[in-house]
Amino acid sequence: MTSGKIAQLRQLQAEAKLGGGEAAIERQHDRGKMTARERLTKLLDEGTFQELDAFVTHRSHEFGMEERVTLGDGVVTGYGTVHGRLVYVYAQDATVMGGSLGEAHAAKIVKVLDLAIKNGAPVVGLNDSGGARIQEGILALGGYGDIFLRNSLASGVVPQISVIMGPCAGGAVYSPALTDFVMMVNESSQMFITGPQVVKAVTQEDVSFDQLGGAKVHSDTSGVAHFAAEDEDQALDMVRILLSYLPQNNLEDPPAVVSQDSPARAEDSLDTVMPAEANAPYDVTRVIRDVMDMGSFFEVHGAFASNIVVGFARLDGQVVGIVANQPNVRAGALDIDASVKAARFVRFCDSFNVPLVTFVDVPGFMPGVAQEHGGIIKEGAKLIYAYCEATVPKLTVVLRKAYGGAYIVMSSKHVRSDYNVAWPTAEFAVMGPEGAVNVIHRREIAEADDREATRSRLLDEYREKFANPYQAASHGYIDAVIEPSQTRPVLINALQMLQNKRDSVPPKKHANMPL
Amino acid sequence: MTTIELIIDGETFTVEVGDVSKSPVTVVVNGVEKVVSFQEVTSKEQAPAPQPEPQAAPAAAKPAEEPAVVEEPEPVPVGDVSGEVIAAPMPGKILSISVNVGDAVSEGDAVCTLEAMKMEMPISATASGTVKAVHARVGQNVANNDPLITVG
Repeated sequence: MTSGKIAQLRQLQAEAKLGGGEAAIERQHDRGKMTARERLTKLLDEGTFQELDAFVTHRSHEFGMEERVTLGDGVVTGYGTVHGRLVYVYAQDATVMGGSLGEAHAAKIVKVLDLAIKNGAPVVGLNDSGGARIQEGILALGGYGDIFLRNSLASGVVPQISVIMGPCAGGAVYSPALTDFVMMVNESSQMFITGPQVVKAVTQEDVSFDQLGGAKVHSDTSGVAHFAAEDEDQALDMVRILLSYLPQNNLEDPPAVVSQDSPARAEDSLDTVMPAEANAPYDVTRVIRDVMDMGSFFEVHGAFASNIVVGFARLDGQVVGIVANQPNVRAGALDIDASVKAARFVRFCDSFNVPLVTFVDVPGFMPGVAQEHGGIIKEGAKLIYAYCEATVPKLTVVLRKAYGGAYIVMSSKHVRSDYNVAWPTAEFAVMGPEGAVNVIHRREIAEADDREATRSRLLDEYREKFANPYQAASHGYIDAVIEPSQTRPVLINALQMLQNKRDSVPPKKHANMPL
Repeated sequence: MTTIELIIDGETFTVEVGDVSKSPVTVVVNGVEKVVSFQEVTSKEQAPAPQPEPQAAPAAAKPAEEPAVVEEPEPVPVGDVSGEVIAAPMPGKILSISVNVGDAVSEGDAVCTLEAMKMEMPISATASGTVKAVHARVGQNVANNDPLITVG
């Protein structure tokens, strides 16, 4: 009697596992894609996946839908572990009605999100869906809305990661957009509000799927995606790496490891990394890699707004968030994209107790009509706001230029950074020497017999006065001037000094960030 | 390297020149190394002397002299050639162009220098191939995304 029922259960389980059936699975494989279950197997520690709602089906009776019932309704949900830590997961199954989202499908995702919020563990969503299941009408739209609400409520409570492994169009794009990190797979994933046909009809623009919303455009042009992976395997590996830097929820600290790299390591090459000329660029990621634990730097948003570098790393095993101006790209100037990219990252770190380390070499905000009309005032304000608001330990190293408004923004003492040091190569000023001398000494230069000689003498005077860290140090705007080679031990020491930092913002419902 | 002594206005310059059939070429003047490139000369009377790479400030001096006979190659409109267009990553001024039409370049090679926000940024080739066209002039102010060089 029981054995018969067990047999029936096993048969149903086998049916659920097949999703859209063997032929559909084969088609998915032919396209170089894994099935939803294969992806989850790859993502999670071996044998840890526990499925929920395998027998959920839709309740639609329109358009012959009663004939098209599949166990699980096109999404595989549940939980498992990554590096031994709990993570909630869902994976849309493109073999079932194209992974389309209806009422029951959405309810399964909602259940997982609710569990994640209640139990304080990250959520990873693997998206591969043709969009709303049209046959279900408003119920599909309601399903999206229910997911958006959970994404918003979970924001800042548990880390949320979205991986796009196929189409993700229309309403479906906004769930990933509400999550903390979006990863796309090159060539096999697209995200857009409306596809190429609608674009053509409305704006007469001819554009391919990939040009409109492929991994490349979203990772380097729009900034919608934080990562672009070569293939599905790499994408899932990167999710595992990313999770290794994140705490389970906002009440935990990020996971520390025992570092193999000496905390006292002085890096002599840092004493020579700075070019002799103030107008020569260099790669700031070299500085980051030399200072942080060996091999620990994991860049986020690498291809987008590369004039600022953000990412995670470890200092003596402790996770830190890095923000660094990149002199190699667009002179390291702060523009709209760079400000928003860094602001979002700073807020993530503050939400999840990740201390911030900021490396400063910034000539200022980017001038130009496009920047002003694009709203650099309000976009730049986001970065100021994010730094001001952040209460995690904040460490700042001024490498070279700290000019004008950009000096204030980049984790200065004035935005309540805790520990600020400068290399001897640092220059603090309202603007660069040339511009400053032309303004301050306009009359003197104009009236001089030898204008160039006068200008050159005044430039030297100005440089001597401001092109160094000592005026800032005399006001306590930096805590110390350090030898570049000592950056790593100095930062590790300061991080320990700040490990019990408590700071707060005045009680309020929530703040009104300049969006 | 060929070593030449030049006496200009009574002052002696020791110049070491590399292979002048190529451009750009490294020239050492009184121990100071410079990279110079050659430009087409229209007047045959004018010796094709190596021109030091133009400095940031366009030389305002000596207006009394004859107008320069060295003629810049006319920038080519981008539509005329096909290939990978290397574009300006930000608005700025072209300080130098280190390649000529016909030169072979590899991806990552510096092809010109752009000055912006007080930074002199080498602009690298985004593809390997032959320089098909140069769209910008030294000293020219370019806007964001302006085409600089086409490699095909």
